[in-house]
Amino acid sequence: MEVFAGEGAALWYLLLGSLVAVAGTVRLLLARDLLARLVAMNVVGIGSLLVLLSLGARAESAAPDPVLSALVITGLVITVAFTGLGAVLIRRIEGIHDAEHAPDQAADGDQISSGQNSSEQDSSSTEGGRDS
Amino acid sequence: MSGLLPEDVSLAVPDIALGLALLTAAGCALIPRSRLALAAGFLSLGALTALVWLRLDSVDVGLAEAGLGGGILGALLVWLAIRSPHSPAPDSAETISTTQPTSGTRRTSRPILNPRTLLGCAAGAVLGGGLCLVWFQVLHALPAWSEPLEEQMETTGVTHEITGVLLAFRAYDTLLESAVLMLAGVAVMALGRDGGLHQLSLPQPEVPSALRWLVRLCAPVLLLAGLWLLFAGSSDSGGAFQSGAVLCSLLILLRTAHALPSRERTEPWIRPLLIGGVVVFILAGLVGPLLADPLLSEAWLSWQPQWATAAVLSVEILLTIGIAVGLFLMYLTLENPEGVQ
Repeated sequence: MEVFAGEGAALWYLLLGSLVAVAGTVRLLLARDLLARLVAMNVVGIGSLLVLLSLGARAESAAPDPVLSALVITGLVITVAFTGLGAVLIRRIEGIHDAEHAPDQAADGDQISSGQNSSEQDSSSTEGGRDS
Repeated sequence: MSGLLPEDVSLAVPDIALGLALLTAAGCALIPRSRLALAAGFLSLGALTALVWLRLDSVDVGLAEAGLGGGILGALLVWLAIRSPHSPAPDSAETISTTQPTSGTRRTSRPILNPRTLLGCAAGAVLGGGLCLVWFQVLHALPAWSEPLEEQMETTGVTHEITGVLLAFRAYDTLLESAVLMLAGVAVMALGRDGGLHQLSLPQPEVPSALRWLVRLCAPVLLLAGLWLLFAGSSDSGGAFQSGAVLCSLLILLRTAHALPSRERTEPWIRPLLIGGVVVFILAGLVGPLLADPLLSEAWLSWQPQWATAAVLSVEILLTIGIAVGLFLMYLTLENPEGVQ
């Protein structure tokens, strides 16, 4: 019973992590909304990181496993990277739907949009940035 | 769940409460249809997960979760939810009725009960139950790398084990991870208008003066906290990623309060700072084999103990700046007022 008591918390979080990851996967596969998918992907990430770290927390010593902790931090950073990129992609996809003349802008967005929005100021400041 | 519990139930009560709160927050992050509710649910899930990491005695991971997972990710998702042009309900009745015209008549009033959802939930329940059974059946063997790790810690130049693992033993992995974050920043810049920097020259909306005062009060504290996390990382909990997240939140706050320098003054610095950490990391990795005794086979990204501290610290400082700038660029590009390039 001693060993079981020590492992109790780790096992509890292990089960929770599995459940959270599975629930996130189900939502990821069922959702149509892009933001809901992105959030579900993050929930899957949290669940799997929870499994990873509670596997390392089963030891009797109080200190966490440094190798697995480093792996979890790596996982968090990668999660932030793909979520940030995904968020910007979602914003761009929906922004194009939202614009009045969507097809033209989607084709050659650079010239049109910079032409609309004070191209002089943009180009001058860009050059100034590259010179210095 | 009572079978899992130790005999002294009072010790287990915080764990149970935290676990149930975690499940509730996960439900809030998955089930609602409004985007803002999803984002807010995810924000609370991040905060609770940080508490779980602390409960598992992982202060490093807790800090990273609070800074990156809860803070920056929550900010990005809430911003995205607020600025969505229209808030389509996920799995809304109209969407389903156009794609699945043959399903039952019930779906228009209660679309959550359509066969697709039911099948998915049933499959998820089976999968989750099976997984939980597996955890009870497996042999619980502990990883066998603790002793070799302690023996090798002296050669890393840092005393905190997690920082040592990240920057010495798994340096190659950390390099690629920083490169992923840098590449995400570069990709985001490519997606934004005018190299992703157009937003810097746009006028910001007016904010209440109370927020400005708050930012003035918080900014020095955040800067200090970020630097402390960075330099404490070599001997205590903290590190480049946690510090980068705190510094990025400082940049976001300063931008909200109109306190960032003008675009002309910030623009020349953004790109070099974004890639500087990764470039210096690679160069520092090359120095090891180049300066080493040719008779000793020196692997790349391995450092002599006498200057390992200097190498790890300088790499970590530049990495932190690169991480903060990369995260800030993601936030900045989301700000694009039209969402269209």
